[in-house]
Amino acid sequence: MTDLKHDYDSQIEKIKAWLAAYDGPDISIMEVCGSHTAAISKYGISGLLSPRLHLISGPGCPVCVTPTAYIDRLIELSLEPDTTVVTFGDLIRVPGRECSLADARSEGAQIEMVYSPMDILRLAQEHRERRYVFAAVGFETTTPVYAMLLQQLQEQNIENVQLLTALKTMPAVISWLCENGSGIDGFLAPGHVAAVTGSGMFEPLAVKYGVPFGVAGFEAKELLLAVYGTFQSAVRCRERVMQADVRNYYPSVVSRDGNRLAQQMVDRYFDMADASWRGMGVIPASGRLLRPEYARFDAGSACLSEDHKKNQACRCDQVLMGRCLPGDCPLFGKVCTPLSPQGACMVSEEGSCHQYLMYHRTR
Amino acid sequence: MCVALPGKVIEIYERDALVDFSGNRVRAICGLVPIKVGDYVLVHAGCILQKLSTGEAQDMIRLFEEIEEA
Repeated sequence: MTDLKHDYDSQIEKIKAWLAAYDGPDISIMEVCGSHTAAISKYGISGLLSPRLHLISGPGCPVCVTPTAYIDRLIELSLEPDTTVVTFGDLIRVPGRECSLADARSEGAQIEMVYSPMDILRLAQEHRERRYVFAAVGFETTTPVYAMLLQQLQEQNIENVQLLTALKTMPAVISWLCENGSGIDGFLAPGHVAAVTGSGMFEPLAVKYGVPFGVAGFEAKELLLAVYGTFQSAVRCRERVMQADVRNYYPSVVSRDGNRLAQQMVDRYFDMADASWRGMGVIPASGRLLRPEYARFDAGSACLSEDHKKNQACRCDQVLMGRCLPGDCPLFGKVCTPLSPQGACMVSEEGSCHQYLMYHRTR
Repeated sequence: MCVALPGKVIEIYERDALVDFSGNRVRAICGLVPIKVGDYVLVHAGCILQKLSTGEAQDMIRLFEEIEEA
C-alpha cells in the first residue's frame, strides 16, 4: 500500500511538472461541465498550467444556459393562485425578462426549493388541491431522475404534479461549438453525464471533428489526471501523431455503454427535441421534451425559446461559448456580482463568472 | 448542478435505499441500477444513478501508465 501511494505521488509530481513546463503551441481544452469548472477552481488546477495551456469553461451549467422565456414561464406559473413552483435552489435568482423567481416570491408567488425532485411527491400528496410544477432543468445526468419521478407519479396515481422542462443534451451543443469556430483543441467530457450515457456517446464527435475527449471525474487527483491526459492527447493530435479519440479517466463510474436502464427510462418518457440555449439560440435535437402520450404532465415547455439580456453589456453568451473569459466582460465584479447578478453565469455556483470571481481567477 | 456523490448502501427498501455519506445518512430512490447492501453508489438529486466499480487506485495508476506509453 505504501508503495502504491509513493507511485501515485511521484506521478502527480510528474504531471504537475509537465503542465507547468509545456512550451509548445497554445492548446485550449474546454471543460463542458459546470461542476468541473467549480472543481478546477477549488483545487487550483488552472494555476498549475503553463501560459500556453488554457482551460475554458463551456455551456455545461444547466442553470446558465436556460433562456429567459423559461424563467418567465415559471414566474407566470408561480403567480397562479392554485400553483406552487418547486425548484432546485440554483435557479431561483436567475434573471428573467423582468425579474427572478426570488423577486416573484417576495411578491407572494408560491415557490418551494428542494434537494431532490422526489420531494415533490410528499408535497403533492399533502396538498391534493394544489398543482405542483417542478422546474425540470438539467442534462443527461438529471433527466433519468425526472423519468423516475414520472414513474412514481403514475404508480402512485398522483395527478397534481407537472414538469416545466428545459432539458439539454450534450452532443448537439458540442457539435455546434466545433462548427462555430471556438478554437477548441479538446474537451474534458462531463463525468456524470457519461455515467448515464456512456463514454461511447462522445466517440462520433471525436472522429467527426478530430478533437480528443477525456472523460473526467471530480476529485482533485482524478481531475488532474484527466486534464493532463487530455492536454497530452490534444498536443499529439495537433502533431498528427495520434487520431482523436475518447479516453475514460473516470473508470470507477463510467463505462463505454453507461447505464442502459437509465437510458431506457429516459426514452420511455422523453423524445429528443430542439432546445433553446442562452446566447446560442435554438440548436436542433439538443434537448428533450415529454413524449406526446405524457402531455398531461407538461406545464407548457415547448417553444420557450426567447432570450433577453437583463443588461445589454452582459457577455454571458460569449463566456458560455468559450469566446471570452469572465474577466473580459465590462460588468464582471463591478455591476455584476453574486449579490446582484446581471447574467446567469454569475448566479449559479457552477457558473463560470461566479467561479472566476469567487476564486479570483484570471485564466 | 450535476454534482453526484458516492455513498455506501446501508439498507434497501421497496422504492428507495438508505445511503451513508461519511456518517450522513440519506434516502435515495433506487431502480436505475441493481444494488445490494455494502455497494458504493453514485447519488444525484436523490436518485441512485450508478454503482461504483472497485479498485479505483489501481485503475488510476494504470491510466497514468497508459498516457505515458501512448
